[in-house]
Amino acid sequence: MSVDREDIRKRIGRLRNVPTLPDVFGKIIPLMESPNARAQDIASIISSDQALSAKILRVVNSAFYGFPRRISNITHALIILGFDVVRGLILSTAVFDMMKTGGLHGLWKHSLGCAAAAGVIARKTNSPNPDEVSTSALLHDIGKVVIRIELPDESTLIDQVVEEKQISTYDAEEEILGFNHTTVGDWLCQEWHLPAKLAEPIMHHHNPHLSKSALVPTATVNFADSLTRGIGFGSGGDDLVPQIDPEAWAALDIGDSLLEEIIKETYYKLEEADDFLYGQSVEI
Amino acid sequence: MKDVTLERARAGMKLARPVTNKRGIILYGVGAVLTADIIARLSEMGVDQITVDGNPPGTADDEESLSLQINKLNARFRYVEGDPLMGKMKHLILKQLKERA
Repeated sequence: MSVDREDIRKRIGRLRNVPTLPDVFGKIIPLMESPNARAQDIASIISSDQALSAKILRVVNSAFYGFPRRISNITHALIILGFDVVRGLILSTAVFDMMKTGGLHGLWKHSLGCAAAAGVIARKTNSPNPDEVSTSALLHDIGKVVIRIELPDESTLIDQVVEEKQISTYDAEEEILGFNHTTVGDWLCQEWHLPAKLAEPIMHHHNPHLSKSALVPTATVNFADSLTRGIGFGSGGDDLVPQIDPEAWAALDIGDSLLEEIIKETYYKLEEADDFLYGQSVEI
Repeated sequence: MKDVTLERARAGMKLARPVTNKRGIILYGVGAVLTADIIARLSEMGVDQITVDGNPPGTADDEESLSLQINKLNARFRYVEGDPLMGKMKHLILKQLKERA
């Protein structure tokens, strides 16, 4: 089966207008990019969508982010997390809606787990902005969601190839489509004007050494993805743990005892996170 | 809630976690009550463990559930465990699994 790459790219361009992407997204982008943007102005636009605000606050206050104090409103979230993280969270609510439509709960769980793991790694390695790293980890497999929804027939073939050849989803996507979910992630990041620090971990999480300006965050997501799969939290489409990129690993500078600490804390975080996913309300 | 192997699943047990296929698509949701037909279908699909409400008698003991978890861990690392870093990671995950069992 051959797939018209340009046709897919055009269809992805139109995703900007899909109903799952909240209206406020379009309204806040110019404000966020303005040097005079004020948190209150952006917050009042986001807060006008009550369901969206509730979803953002629920994720922010869950074990995945793990702030010591409760974040009670959007202005507070913008000040503590920064504009880029909140922008990423708005996108992630849209992505979750798409995951629900496509029945991809396992991928949502994997994404949340990866965000939690990335947060642990970023904090333990003294990243200047662990919340940004968590947010890009939350969105790292966004391309898989789009492939699933836009290309259902090819997705079925990808599943078959994964099963029959016992290969990764990434390799099966390359075989069936001639590109993979990180290519689609790259297109989406361009469409949505995500800054490089959020976009590069999405684009290069399988090959972090290709990152030009965000090597450490990208290496963190590469490691977090591998660790979440290693622990078996959620589903990335196959049951294989990807090899950590050695060049990127060197950039993280994690010794044996720190590695053990990270794995232990991630384990603990994911147990807490499980309660969030399977508690009273599964939906966010 | 308790993890039980499919051999020990019985009609009437209620799912505490959804059963998903490898891609994460939900086959049976939380609260679904197992029937003989559903158990047979899960078996055909290769599902080997489910999570049910409460602590039904006659379900897998912890040791069994741990050995299943270790088998799955081995399967996940099957292509990469020869690499020193990945081998170390697997070993540390195994340590956590055992400590929490």
